This record gives sequence, C-alpha cells and structure tokens, in this order.
Amino acid sequence: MWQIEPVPQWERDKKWYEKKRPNELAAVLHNLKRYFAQLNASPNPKSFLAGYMHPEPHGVVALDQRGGGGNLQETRLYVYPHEERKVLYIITIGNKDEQASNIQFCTDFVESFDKNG
Amino acid sequence: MNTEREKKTHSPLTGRKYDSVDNFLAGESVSHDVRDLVSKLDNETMIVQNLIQMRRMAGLTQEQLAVKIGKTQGAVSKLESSSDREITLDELQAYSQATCQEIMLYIGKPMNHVDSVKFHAFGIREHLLSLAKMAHVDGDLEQSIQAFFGEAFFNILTILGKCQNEMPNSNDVQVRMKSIGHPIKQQKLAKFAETVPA
Repeated sequence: MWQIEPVPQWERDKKWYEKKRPNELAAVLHNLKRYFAQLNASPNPKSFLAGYMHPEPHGVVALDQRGGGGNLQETRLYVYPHEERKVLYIITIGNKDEQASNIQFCTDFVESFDKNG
Repeated sequence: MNTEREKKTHSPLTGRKYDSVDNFLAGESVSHDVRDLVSKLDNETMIVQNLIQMRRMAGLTQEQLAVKIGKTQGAVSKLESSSDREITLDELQAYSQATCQEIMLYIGKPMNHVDSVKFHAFGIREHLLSLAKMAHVDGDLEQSIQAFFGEAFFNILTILGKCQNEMPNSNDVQVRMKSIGHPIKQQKLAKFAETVPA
C-alpha cells in the first residue's frame, strides 16, 4: 500500500488556496483521491491513465481541477510517486500561469531527492 | 494572483505520512469547508471508484481490462476518470463480466432504517436457508455450515448487543460465547436462541 507525505511547500500552498481558491483546492484534492486509488490498484504508477492526470518530467504528475465543476481556474496539484518507497509526495499547487516555475520547482525536488537518497 | 504568494522554497521533508487521502486531509488540518466540498465531489464518482476497485480485485490493468471488453486503454482511462452520471449500463455490465464480479442494482422507494434492517434480515434468512439445504448434500459441508451458523449467530447477537448499548439509559448488554471444541449443533443453537429475550 502507498503512503502520502506532504512537503513543506504544500502547507504554504494549502493555506493560500483554502482562503483564495477553496473550490479549486477541493477539485484537485478530489482528483488526488482518485489518483491515489488508482495508484493502489495498479502494478506501477505508469500503468494507468486518467484525463485529470498530466505526466511531467522526472516522473512528476500534475493533477488538474477537472470534474470540480465549471468556472474553476486551471489548477495543478503536483505529486511525485516514489516507486521504491511507495510514497506519494505532495509537492505544490499552482495555476496555469505558474506552470513553468512549478515544474522547475518539482524537478529540483526530485533531483535533490535523487542526490540525497 | 501570484504576486500575493510567497516565493516557493525547498525545505526538508515533513516526515508526516498518511495511508489514505482522508487521513491526509484530516492530519494536515484542511478546513472542513474544503473537506465537505471534496466529499460532495466523491459522492459523484462512487460508482466509478467501485469499478476501479473491481478491476483491482480482479488483478487487471487498464490495458488488460480494455482487451477483455473490446475497448482501448484510452477508453477505459476515460471511463475511470468520468463521473457516475456518464456511466452506462452497458459499461457496468462489461466491467462485471470482465472481472467476474456482481453489480447489484436496487430499484424501489428509498428505505428508512427499519425497512433496511428488515430487508437485510430477510436476505440473511434466505442465504442461511440455502446453506441449510446445502448441508444435506454431504457431511463435510454440514460440519462447516454448522460452524458458520454458530459464528453468524454470535456475530449477529454481538452487533445487536453493541447497538443496544448505544441506546439512552441502556443497561450494558454483553454477548459472551465459550470456546467449544466441536461445532455447535443446531438444536443447541435453537435452544440457546429461545433463552435470549426478544
């Protein structure tokens, strides 16, 4: 069974989104639930697909707000499924405008992870 | 919007681990408003979540299930990320056949708690009667069914006792059962049942 571990950036993002964009936060967390169920139901994180999932470099996955209703801002929750540890890291949340910097942030996270083990 | 937010920085891991998203949301103190919104969205995908669970229990990947139901992995992926409103009866049937599992559909007026208890009690009676009929077929089966009857009897009484204890001003009801070497005989069970007040 997989486990979930948030990284400190998530705490900061959560506070901001709870205040400013609760519907978007709920929508991505709902998709996190669906993704986590798939993760536990599949032999590996790459063996399933879903419309709300977007594969990013270095194995990072962006979960969007799809299914959360209309008029929601494009939002992405970035997660990293560490296959060996069976831990899903919750890295950060952001909107479409922040996409490039968020992906870079996630890349740095995964790379530092690989370096430090 | 982003100007209001602090710059993102890397810090050491939190070390907090959770085995489910619900525990994660509770443990990370996500507000009740947001959790209520998540629950509302979850309710709209309950059937889909069950289909994913069925596939998992059958040990099938999306690709393997797609082959079994004559669709592409993309179609299975689309179905598993849709909402309950979009699922068709054909798709339910396909999952049921491919995973060799049953999907039950209830048609009728919404039941209140008392009706539900009666409905399930009648269901339990039907299944127990079927087991009793099966017990006539061979001796080994009879012993196993006899043991199961004893277990079921104890479990049902325990459930009733626990629920009774939740009532206001209830006296503590305890159900105890002694470990018995041989499976309990049905006559003994019947006698025991007579001693339990209705």
